[in-house]
Amino acid sequence: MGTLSVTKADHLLWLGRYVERTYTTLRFILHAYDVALDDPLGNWRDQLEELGFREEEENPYTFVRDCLFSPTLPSSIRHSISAAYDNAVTLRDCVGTEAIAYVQMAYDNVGSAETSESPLLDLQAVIDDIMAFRGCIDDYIADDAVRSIIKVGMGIERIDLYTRLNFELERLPQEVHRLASRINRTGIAYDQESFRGVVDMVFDPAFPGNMTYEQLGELLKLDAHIFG
Amino acid sequence: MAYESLVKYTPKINQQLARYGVKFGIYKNGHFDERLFPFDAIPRVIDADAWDTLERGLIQRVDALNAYLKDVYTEKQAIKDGIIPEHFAFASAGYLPQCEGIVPPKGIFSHISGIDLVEDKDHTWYVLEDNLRIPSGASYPAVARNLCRRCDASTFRDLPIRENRDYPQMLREVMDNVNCGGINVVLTPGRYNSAYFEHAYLAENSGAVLAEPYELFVEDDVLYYGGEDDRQRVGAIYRRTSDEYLDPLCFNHDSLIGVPNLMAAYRAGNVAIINTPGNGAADDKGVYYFVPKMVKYYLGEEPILKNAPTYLPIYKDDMAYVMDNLDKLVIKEVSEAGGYGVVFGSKLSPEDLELFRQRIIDDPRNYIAQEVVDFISLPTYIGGEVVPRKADLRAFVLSGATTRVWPSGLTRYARQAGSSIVNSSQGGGFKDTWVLSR
Repeated sequence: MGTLSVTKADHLLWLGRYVERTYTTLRFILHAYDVALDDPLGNWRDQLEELGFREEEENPYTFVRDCLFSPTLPSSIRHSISAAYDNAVTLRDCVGTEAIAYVQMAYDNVGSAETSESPLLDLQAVIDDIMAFRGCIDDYIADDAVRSIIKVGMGIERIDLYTRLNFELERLPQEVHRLASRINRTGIAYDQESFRGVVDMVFDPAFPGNMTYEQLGELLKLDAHIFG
Repeated sequence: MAYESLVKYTPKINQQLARYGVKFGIYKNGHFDERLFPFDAIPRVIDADAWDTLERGLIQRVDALNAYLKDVYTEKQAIKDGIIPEHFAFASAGYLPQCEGIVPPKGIFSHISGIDLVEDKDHTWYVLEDNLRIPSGASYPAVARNLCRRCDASTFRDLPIRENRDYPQMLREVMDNVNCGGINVVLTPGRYNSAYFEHAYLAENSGAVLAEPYELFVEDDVLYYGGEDDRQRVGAIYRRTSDEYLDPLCFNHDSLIGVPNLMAAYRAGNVAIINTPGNGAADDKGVYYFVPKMVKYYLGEEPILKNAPTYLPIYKDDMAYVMDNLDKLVIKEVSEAGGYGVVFGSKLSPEDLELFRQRIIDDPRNYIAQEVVDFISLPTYIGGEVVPRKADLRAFVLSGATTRVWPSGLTRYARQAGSSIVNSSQGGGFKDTWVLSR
């Protein structure tokens, strides 16, 4: 591929971020929905509010539908996959039609699920498409920098979401380790000090057991500054 | 029939086309929307003899058009010799004075020419329009062919169907032929262009970089892709933007898009622009009338392909004929494209007919009138049954080291029974075009 313009690198990074945002948010919403059935007043609503979902709706099913399909909520699955799609279609020359097809299918399947009688079942197809996209990157994209930027985008987003949601924090060291193995292969500049700060926090032997709300906020800030 | 085995796969092939994002964009009521381009698996089939005639005619026509473009921007001999009236040549909206005196690399102006044809009921082909600026549509049949081949082994094994999936390779050869040193770039106006899928697809499959205007810059009359620190020289640019948005310093000064000084790099011979700016001087609906004369003048040959019988109201006799027969003719606005500005006199109310009559009298240069060519319908699978639909053919002629015709083409069909409007923007679908080798 050779030279990547700043615009293209930006699209690659955000393709990775939005694909990951769709995937993790979807998994989390399905999890929250399940919890909500048994515990209507539980913490799940607060956690979804961390993503920007501030609904007055009391019925968990209706609330979750808004989180999934609202065209106006920027954290909805529909919004995230649309943004992933918008980035993907500009990258056909470096990502390839075969790989982009999985983002296209995820986008189409969100649309189908929205009009389905069993959207939460049908959204499994979206998870399948995203996993296929993640998997096919290694096979279809020859350029290491292109692959690495997408994967780094996914990593940055995953760290952001897990931290924001206080969700599966024990997986963060693994995610940061993956990020460390990729970030220098992107060929794009990043804030090394912020990245070192993230590494220090998640590899602290006490992590995540003793994390305060403020410390999670600090971790979020550092993660945001890596490519900020 | 050859197609019968494919008909039943039409829905599945369309699903696969959706999977690959084979779409076109359309603006309606100020809103951008992406639509699938409906595909019909029943192909247009052109036998070897008919193709041989078409191919020779298309090469001849495009060679003459290239000769005219070179002439109109340099010597102007055909105008001096009275072959094309001066007021027609230079009053054309597509003629760009900014391109005066520039001869592009290897003297090729129209590298990718899309020639729209129809076949009438006695199997005569008529050229309806020459598209020498940014003709689109070659990617769709190439993608569809790949899917059709997966549906029916025996048809593709037994019939001598010529390959059409090599279009991106042919495009690459055209770009390489005029490349002035550097990478090849497909320049797209961006994500919200109606043919964006095609821009991206052709870049991917020809090995070119897909770039938007702001990813390119000119320094010391050399075009680069990338940024200050990491950049690559561009030797050929397959632009899919209109002339007026290519270079804001040269054309549309109010434009926020385009590559400043691109024309300076081009004028200095440091980059090839495919197709050359200013080609609209030769694909104007009015100049179309003169193409058979160009063939005779530049090539000394009889035209192989016919124009649809056309009248120019600017000529007294033609104006009289048009006025007497307006209700039987097709009226076309010279400055319009994409099926817009086309009106069938037979479908106008008496009031509208009078309105058009007056418009033609007021601005005769802006209109041509043509006899209605009763072109053939092709069997088309719509709504679960095979029905006849009017269809045209856009043939693609590529001018590189030699002039070649892509052995296929975009066959577009009208969705509505009896309609002759085949444009995708107006609901038309497409078919693959099978050219048989024997």
